Amino acid sequence: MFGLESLVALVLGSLYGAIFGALPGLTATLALSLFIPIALFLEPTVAFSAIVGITATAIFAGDVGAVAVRIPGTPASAAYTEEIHELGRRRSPALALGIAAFASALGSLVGVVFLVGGSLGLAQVAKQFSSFEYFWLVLLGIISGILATPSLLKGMLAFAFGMLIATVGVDPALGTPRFTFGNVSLLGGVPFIVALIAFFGLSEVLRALYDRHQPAPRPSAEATQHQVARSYFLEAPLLVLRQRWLLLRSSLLGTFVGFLPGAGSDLAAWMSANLARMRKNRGEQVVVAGAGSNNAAVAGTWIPALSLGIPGDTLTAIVLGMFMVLGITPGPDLFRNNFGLVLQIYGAFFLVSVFLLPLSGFIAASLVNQLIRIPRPLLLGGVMGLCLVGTYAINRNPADLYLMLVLGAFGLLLQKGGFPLGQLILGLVLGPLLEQYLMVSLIKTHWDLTAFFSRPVALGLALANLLLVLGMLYLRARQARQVREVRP
Amino acid sequence: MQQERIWEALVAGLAVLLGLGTWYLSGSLPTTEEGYPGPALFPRILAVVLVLGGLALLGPALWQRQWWQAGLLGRLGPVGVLLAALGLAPWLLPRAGLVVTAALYAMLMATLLGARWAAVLGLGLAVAGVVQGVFVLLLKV
Repeated sequence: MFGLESLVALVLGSLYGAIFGALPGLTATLALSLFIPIALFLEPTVAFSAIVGITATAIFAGDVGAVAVRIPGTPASAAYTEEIHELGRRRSPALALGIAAFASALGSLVGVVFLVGGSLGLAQVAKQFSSFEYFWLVLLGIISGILATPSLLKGMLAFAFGMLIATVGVDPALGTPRFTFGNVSLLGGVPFIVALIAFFGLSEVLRALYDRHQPAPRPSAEATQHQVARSYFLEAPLLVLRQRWLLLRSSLLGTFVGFLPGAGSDLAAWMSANLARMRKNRGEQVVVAGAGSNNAAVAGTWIPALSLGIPGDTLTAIVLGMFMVLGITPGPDLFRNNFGLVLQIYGAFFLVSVFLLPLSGFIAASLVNQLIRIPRPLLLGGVMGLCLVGTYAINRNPADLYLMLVLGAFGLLLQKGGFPLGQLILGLVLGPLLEQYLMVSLIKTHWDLTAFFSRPVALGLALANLLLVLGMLYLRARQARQVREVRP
Repeated sequence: MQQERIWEALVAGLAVLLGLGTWYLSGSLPTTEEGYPGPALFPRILAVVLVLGGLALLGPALWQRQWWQAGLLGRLGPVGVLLAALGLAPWLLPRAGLVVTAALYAMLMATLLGARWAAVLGLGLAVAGVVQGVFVLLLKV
């Protein structure tokens, strides 16, 4: 089932993801965005092996920057940056990264178990779903994605921008060209990959250029090579095993949060790390909880993506975009028509969890200081070149570069204004689905709105939406009240 | 924080304009046979969200005094240079080829960020090598 090419892709993808995750400012999303133009030229089984390698390792590798310079490489590592940096400074960077790597590996393994069971089960259930159930599910994804952002208004606008961009092209109801301004190349819509590169690649480059006078990160912890192997392979796993119940709890929470459409590994890490802090746990325990949780969430996010075609986070939104470009329909059809690919994805996750996360962690622990010394201008120059090539390579249409330019500049505006770009990309994927299920449901019932509540599962999902909104608003209000009380 | 409010106001203003534009352009889209709104329905829902959300953000952001005095334009210079250069990319690419164009833009970005010329040259060669090896030879772009 797992060919040599897929294995090589998995290893190379993991190394590529580890480098991107480790470097502050270069995120897992950017790594995946720049890889997609290459992935489109590969066999789907090979491409998805590499994608699993990239996503799983990049999330873990975010801890490298946190250990070395107290700057998390990815937002998912931000939840426990203070603790892991302090641990690296007080004990050794190798031990800190060892704890993160083994907690990530075991957390990922827990997530994989649920990925296999959950996606297979959910795909069976989803066979009974009609457009009404899918409408509510997609809406659930959008609502939870908005509620996961610090500013509801900005989250909502980011989703709306993404969904608006996705309305360009032929509409799903009557097949009418919409907002194309007579431009034939826009009939197929704004190319997803071009938008992806613009928002995560070019806008990041532009932001770095705008903020170029900010001081570069400097290593505060000297990572000596002495006893790296001993700290990494002996002390760290023992310490993680001593916290096995905490790890299991955090991994289960991480998988569940990852499973919720739109939430993702960042939220999972914050929740688990905060829960560990509330129980007055020490630094190591917070790291175990956060690292285990965010990697469990990576696998968790693939559950709704594979079985329902609804992304769990930005990374799986990109994966779903890739499915669309390749003409593969995620959801129950994926399990019927491309079960080999599904097995390959499960296998890739398993291999990453058991072998590649600990291995890439060890490489990172050995090279931690060298990695973060790569000059930022050169790094971003390289990213700029790859953005240009990636955009052109998709359709070999130089006009796509104009699109990248406009969307990249817009991405800079959004980033500087504190609008979440991840939510925009989720909107780009979920928008067409929402419109399609809305219009299909309305047309087939002759605009009878009660039909949205007429089926038991649809009604349950509608109530789930309502409960999610009420529950999250209550929690936010309570949190805001607590913050006000703490402030003098 | 003040800086963020400026950008926030710009995005909010853009949201309002996009919302109004979307509402207007949707007016020319056809309806269904029964007379119900067709392709215009979803964009119009989004237009309402954009206008209302934009206005809700725009009000408080504009209320901030001195919001245009935060040195916004001075730092936009190099960003403008890169964007203007990127505007030339569709013209340059068919003439100079993919490898050279990618290397040139990578070098321009590194120069704008203050890298030294030797490093910039090295980067140009490295990017050219990667693009030639991966995209041209391997992927046949």
